[in-house]
Amino acid sequence: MINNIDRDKCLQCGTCTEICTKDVLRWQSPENKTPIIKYPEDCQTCYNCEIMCPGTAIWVHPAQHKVVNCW
Amino acid sequence: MVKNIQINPKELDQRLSRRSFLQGALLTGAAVAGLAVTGCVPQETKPGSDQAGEVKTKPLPLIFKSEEYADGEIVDADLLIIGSGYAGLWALMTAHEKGVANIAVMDKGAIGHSSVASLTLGTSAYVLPEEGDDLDATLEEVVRDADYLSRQDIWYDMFSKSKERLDKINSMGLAYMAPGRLTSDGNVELKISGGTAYTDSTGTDRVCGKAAVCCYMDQVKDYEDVKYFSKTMATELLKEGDRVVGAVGVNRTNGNAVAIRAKATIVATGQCTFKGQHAITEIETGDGYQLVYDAGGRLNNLEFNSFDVDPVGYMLEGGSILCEMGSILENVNGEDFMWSIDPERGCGCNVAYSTRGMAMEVAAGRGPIFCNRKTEVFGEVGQNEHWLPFLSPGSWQRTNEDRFADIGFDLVETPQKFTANSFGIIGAIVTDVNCKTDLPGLFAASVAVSTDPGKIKGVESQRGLWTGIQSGTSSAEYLGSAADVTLADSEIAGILANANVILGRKGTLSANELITKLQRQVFDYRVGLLKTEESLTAALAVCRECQVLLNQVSIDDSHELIKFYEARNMVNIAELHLLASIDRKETRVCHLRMDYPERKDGEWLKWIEWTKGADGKPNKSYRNVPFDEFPVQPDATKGLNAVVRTITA
Repeated sequence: MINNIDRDKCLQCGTCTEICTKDVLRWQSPENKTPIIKYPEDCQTCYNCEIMCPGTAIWVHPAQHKVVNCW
Repeated sequence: MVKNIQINPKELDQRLSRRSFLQGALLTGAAVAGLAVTGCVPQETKPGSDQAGEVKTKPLPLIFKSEEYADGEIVDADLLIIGSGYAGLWALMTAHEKGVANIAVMDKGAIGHSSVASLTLGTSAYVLPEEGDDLDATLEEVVRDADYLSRQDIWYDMFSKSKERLDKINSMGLAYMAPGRLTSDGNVELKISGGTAYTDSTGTDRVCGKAAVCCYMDQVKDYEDVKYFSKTMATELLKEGDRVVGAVGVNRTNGNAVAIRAKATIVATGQCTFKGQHAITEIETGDGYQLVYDAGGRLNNLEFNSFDVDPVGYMLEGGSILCEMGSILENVNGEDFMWSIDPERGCGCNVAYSTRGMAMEVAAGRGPIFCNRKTEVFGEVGQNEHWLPFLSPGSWQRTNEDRFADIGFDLVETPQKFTANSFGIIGAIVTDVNCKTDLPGLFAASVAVSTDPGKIKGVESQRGLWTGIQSGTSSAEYLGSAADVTLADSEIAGILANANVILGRKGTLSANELITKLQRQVFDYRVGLLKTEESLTAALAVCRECQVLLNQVSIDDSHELIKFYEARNMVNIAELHLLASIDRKETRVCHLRMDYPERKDGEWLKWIEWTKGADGKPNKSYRNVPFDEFPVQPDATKGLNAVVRTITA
């Protein structure tokens, strides 16, 4: 799941908030396009945000948070 | 005995915490729960940056700007396409080429980028025929391995137009990193294409599924008269009599509701998945199924469910292909048990066999199951020409493996605990061979079109392309003579108001809690894989509890509103899945009844179809497979069932 956004490398371009399929990321406010990880529990580790981030500011943790009925 | 060194998220976090570039919050366990409330600002650290602090940037990706709309707005269009994966984009291309203008595209994620297929290997452009291939023989193989419930008319048309699709893909500049290859899939030998590569219009090299979706987006990016409605989930189709005339959707960012009033509508959404641990299948929540069902359309094959061989705790693209290429599934005693289940192929058998075999080992007390892909077993990773495309830089799988390498885990030399994941419903919306539904003005595309009760790897993306072309063509023809829509604004207003009226509701549980409750029941391997009357009936009772609990879900914001709709769709489709599973008292293809282990061709060469009754309850009917119209005839001595008999004996 998404683990970290490097503030120094973030370009505030809005790519990650726009591209996140699960709506995990939101802007800080309509005026401040700094992304925040607002709904981390919904991240599905698809790496969309990391692969597409122009600033290479995002690092996604490879382990998943939710394990249900694995045997 | 194999030592259990399965990746543990807590241990991962401890390892991560030792790395200097990753200080600060790690979002697992309790930390996740806390941050869910308040959000989490970016860390002050520099993950992955070079030590000199140089900031390297890449071009901005192509993102289609969404229309902005006020709550309650009504927009008119000729054609509405719901979903923008491969099928939605190919439907858009096809309809546009045929002269349809004023098209609206709605997607609950970002246009194009929400495609499930964009996280996979690429586009399997064709199956057969190539020159010299025998289409009829291939059709027979596919139908046989689906235990004869295939839509042969659809498969034949899909196969016979393979070259047409491949030529179109080539003309777009989408290249294949590996030549078409033979992949053994149970008893079926399919020629599919290797990973795709493409340099998109921003000058960025893309690979695998990303290459395909970026290519298709480039094809449509200059279209005029197309309006995109991103982050907008369709919640209800609009009706004018029996005719479907568009849909209402809700914006997941601000909760605004919008109606697209359209002369024709294509539903091009994903499957219904209950166990999304494979790529991005968590977004496949049966949205299109629910839309069509509510509007009066037909669903079938819902008793058939798919699984894939996946690791526990992390994801993998191509798990079953790994086994096909030589990896070994071992039980807790280190035994390569699959040979006792499929003496010819062992772990390389159809994934429907291997997942059942895994479940039966666990049921017999020999679990958990591990996947061994050590070099000595699998061969040098990177030297395997068929696995190589998965590991192209920029692919989902390569990114995933790189991250594990970052944190010091070796996925190759360490056997990993595996299970059966990616539990999804194979059945879907019933259409004719032109992707028309029973309802005037409504067409379907993508995996939301019911073609087959089986699971044939590498075909889903081809099905996306084929259904996109068929539905785009059919809708264009329909629009040539379609009457104007007369549904008044006042009639739509009530539906719009209902779509988000529950926003702000206080309840007793979250949508995620409800979904987890459902998953725990429906995904239990004694319900999903090794079915019995008792286990299915018990799961159905819990499913109906979940239906009642839907009224108690808290909907604090627009994000939770969308989650509510996803939960609703999953619960309702789960009910149909369980009812159908109880009803089909035999074993056939991806439906294993432990209490009815035989395939019964005399009674069950028919589809179970579901429509919504006037009382709102599921209405069941049967339709015989029209073998008098189909070339391949059933043979009781052939099909997937032969192996099933072995493992249930």
